[in-house]
Amino acid sequence: MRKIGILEDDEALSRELKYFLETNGYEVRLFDMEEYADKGEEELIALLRESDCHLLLLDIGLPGIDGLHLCREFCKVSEIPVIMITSMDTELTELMSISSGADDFVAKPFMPPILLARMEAVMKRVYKDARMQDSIRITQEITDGGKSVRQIFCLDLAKGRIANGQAQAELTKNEMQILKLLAQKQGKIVSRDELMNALWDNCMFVDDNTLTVNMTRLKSKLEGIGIEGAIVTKRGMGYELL
Amino acid sequence: MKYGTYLKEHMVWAGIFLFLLFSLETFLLTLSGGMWLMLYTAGSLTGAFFAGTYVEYRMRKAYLAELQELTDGLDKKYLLPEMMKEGKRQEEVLLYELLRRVGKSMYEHVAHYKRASREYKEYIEIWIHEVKVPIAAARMILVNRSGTDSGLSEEIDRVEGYVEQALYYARSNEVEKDYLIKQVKLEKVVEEAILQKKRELLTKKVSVNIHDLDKTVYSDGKWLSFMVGQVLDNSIKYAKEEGLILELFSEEEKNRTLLYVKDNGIGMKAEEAPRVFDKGFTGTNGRRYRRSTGLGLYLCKKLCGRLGHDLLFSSKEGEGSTVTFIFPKSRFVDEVRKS
Repeated sequence: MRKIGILEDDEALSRELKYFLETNGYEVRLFDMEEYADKGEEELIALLRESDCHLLLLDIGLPGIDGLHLCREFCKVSEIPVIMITSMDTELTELMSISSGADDFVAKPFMPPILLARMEAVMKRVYKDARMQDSIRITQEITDGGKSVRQIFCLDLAKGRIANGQAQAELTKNEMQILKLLAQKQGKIVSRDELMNALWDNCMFVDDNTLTVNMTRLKSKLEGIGIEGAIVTKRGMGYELL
Repeated sequence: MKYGTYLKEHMVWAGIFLFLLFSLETFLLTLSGGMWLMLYTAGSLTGAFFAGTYVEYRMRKAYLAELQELTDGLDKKYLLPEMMKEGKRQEEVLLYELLRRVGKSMYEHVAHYKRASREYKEYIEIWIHEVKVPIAAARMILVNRSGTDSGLSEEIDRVEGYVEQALYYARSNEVEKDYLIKQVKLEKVVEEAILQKKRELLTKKVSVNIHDLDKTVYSDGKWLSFMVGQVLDNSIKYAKEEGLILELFSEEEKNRTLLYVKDNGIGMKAEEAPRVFDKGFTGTNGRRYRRSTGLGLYLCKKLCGRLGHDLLFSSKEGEGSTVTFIFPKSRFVDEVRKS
């Protein structure tokens, strides 16, 4: 499990951020005000390093500490990626953050899913190893005319295709995003709204009709390589990947 | 300055002169001097009077003309006291000193307001950065307890929108530079702006068509995406019932790049269109839809002016509106980049 360090002085925000990240499958190490208030810069950096995080979310405007300076000093001695979070949403702050060694810059108030996406992108870049999945393996049991059939197929995110042992099919960006979301919530119903939101978050600004078309195409592509009935439409509720 | 008027303004001198002339002539008459003598003195004295006043008039005129010319040549007229000569005559010296004092006092006055407005702007900036933190926290709370979301997210979006607008309003007036011009990808800017308005756009059942945006311009990305956001706000506000179609695309011309934001909204009356950039102008549409502030496009125009862009608006009532951002291309920058 990835561990995220949060250094942020607003109590409510950091508490909610912690909760949000924990529900999204991260371990969170929250640095309390009391922990660093009377510490010098070097001690603080040591504390941050010892925490053994995989990613650090760092506020720029900390009481008594210049976040940018801290970031610069921290990045000199540590490989841990840093994302700056600030309400100073200007090009200059962004530029200074990046030049201070930060890996990304997110302005407050952020959309939580977007923060999550940025974090994932940074970690994917930094920890190239296996954890951030480039492909999703989908296994499902389907009851077809009374007898149960097991079918396995693989969604290759890097190459944009789906494959089962025999055949493979190319997917468009939209279709891939849809299937990815369905796969992440396999066995649960995903509403059209959720799908729309996820697509928009990834800068695919589709409308209702396009989503329907994408869905139909996706299903037919799946069927094209012999995967039958993998996605079920629940009228008025959404879709489900069995 | 006219000589006739000058003489009229020096009636006292003319009166004294005529009185003296009259006395002298009377004196000569009592002495029973010859007719020629009287004529000669009258003629020469009158001549001397006119010559004297004319020379004086020419000098005054030259002095004032110089001042006038100086003022006309000045871009900032209030700098006149800094530029003018002190002069030799006492009244010129006095005028010089007076103008300097006037200028100084005015400068102090202006400086006072400048400081006040800068302080106010700084306060607004700080306040906005402060208020963004609770907004961020509120948004997180809503996400964490997604079951209880009853339209609150939309309201938070609106609050954030207004906060952002206030920030840029404060920035739009300042003389100092608080933007950063660099190469900006139009695609990224547009995507950011759309994402910012995601929720409102989704509830409007919008269909977004973005194409030909793989161009770079020189601008401040944050400012630009704020401005595109303001335009989108308008499109959302003035959308037709049957749904909103947005088209965002760019075009490259020889000397400029154009970014179009086109909607199929209710549009605007032809006679109102030229006034959309006026502050507080909402038009008949605005009165019908209460949420209009008449600030969005005004602000965009102003911010565009500061960044060196231009902004155009065209609309057809009942068919929709198009807002065009114009980014002039600088050959100089390209040359430098090439070399």
